[in-house]
Amino acid sequence: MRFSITKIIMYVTLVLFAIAWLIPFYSTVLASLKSNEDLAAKPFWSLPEKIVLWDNIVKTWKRAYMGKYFFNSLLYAPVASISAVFIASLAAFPLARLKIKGRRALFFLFLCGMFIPYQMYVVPLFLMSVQLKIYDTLVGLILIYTSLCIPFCVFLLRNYFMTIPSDLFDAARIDGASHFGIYWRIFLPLAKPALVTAFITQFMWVWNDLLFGLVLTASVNTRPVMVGLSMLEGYYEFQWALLATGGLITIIPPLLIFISLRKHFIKGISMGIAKA
Amino acid sequence: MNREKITPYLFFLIPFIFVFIFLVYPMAYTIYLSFHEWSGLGAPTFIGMQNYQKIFVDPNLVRSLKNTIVWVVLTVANPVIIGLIIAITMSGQIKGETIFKSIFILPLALSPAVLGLIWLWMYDPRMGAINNILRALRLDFLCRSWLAIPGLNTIAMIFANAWAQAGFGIIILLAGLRSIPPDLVDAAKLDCRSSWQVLIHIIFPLLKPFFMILIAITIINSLKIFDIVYMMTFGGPYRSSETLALSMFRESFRLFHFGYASAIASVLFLVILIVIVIFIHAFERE
Repeated sequence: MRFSITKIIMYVTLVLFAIAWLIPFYSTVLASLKSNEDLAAKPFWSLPEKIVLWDNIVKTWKRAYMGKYFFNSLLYAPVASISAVFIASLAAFPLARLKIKGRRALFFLFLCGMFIPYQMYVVPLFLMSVQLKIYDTLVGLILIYTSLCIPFCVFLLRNYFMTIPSDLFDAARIDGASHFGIYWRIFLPLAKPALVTAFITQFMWVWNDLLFGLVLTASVNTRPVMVGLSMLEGYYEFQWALLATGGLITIIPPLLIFISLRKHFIKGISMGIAKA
Repeated sequence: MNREKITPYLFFLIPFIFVFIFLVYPMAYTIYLSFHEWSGLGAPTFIGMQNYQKIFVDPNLVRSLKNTIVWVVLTVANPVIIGLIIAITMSGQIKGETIFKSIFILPLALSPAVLGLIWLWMYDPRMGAINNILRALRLDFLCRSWLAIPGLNTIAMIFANAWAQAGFGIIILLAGLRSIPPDLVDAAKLDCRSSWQVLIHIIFPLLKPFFMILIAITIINSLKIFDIVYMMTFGGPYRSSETLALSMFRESFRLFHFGYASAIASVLFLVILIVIVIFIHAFERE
């Protein structure tokens, strides 16, 4: 008897929390379906009189350039995260498996990159990108996003490479394989799960970044999507139907990743807890 | 033979170039700038520690420091309390666990900028969900323009962030709870202990390392809080809800006090470094 009461209390608690957690989503999705007039006339939970989602999408996607920003980020996020994973794997391999001098110091250097707050980089990165003439360019943003992603990838991949049995490495050495050959033909293919986890977390990070986008871009052709969203706030001030639509547009890629690769996503969070 | 010795280092060439140019050098330059006064034009003037001294007398920055402390203290309480409640309720055999888990974890997939926007809408004084629900419950006297009142706006944003970050606590603590061997709990129950005693004497001590990770990360992340504040209030009204990261942004990219902003960043860095060192020590003691 006592057992079932505990069970009931547990379910009630969970359901109450879940409802509370869903309200923000519910009210945002509903707002995106309504017109601003409808929204102002009735409380937020009422169903829309007429669904005008398409109108809202046209107004944000076209007129406020959200579509352009969306595709900018759709370029930055995969390019920067794939480059970062690849470049980081180069460093992670010797850090995990080769006996070299200064291994600890080098690992520490990359580890530091994970903990140092972005505020320590952002002003010089802005000044440098102006001087190097990569300010407000696609290339500039990709280079900087890639660099910012590298330390975390090194950490994650190095830890994964350590779990690959060293017998495998030794056997390949005896067979006369070069270091690069071992890295390319044995370690990289075996580390596929870690590569995917690293890619996902970094894709999400670049997609969700606001700070560097704000500082390093100044035109429609380069702005990442979150900066676009922050500008939408000024463009359609208090027109919640349009703002909600804009917000939901930016959610699509992370949401798709979350749904299709939830396991990897959760692993990335619990492994990469150090990442801001 | 010689080539054999060099190849391991060749692996580092490309990663090192990237990290050096875009991370190491900028960091050193920020520290250099923090001892200078510079508006972006001409050469920086060396002024010693003046930027650092100014942080602790400038009323805007003192307020920003206070806000950041409020953020840290209240945000740490969140994953520990909400996360623990939900993790414990979910640790038993629960039907629909995947659905519940997804609901709580979903906000973690979203950008802090979107979270800011969603909660800006939630807090809208006239149309937003919070005031609407309060009115429906006949609690009109509790309705506020949440983000316009100094002091209250910081709390309101911390609440929004708690909604977003609870899933993080749940993931970590659930992993912790699942790592406890069930035999141990069963054995304790056979000793005629109540569930409450089992929780306090058996489960909590075993969860300690997980709590420590959770608290360390939460402290570090809330020290750096930026996106949500940028989207919801931009530190306003009248800089009343600024955090250190936001003050740093405003001083550099709105007011062009690059030296002063660098000093703020360096202080932030130093505080985070201290937190990390403290926690590493605590971990080694464990």
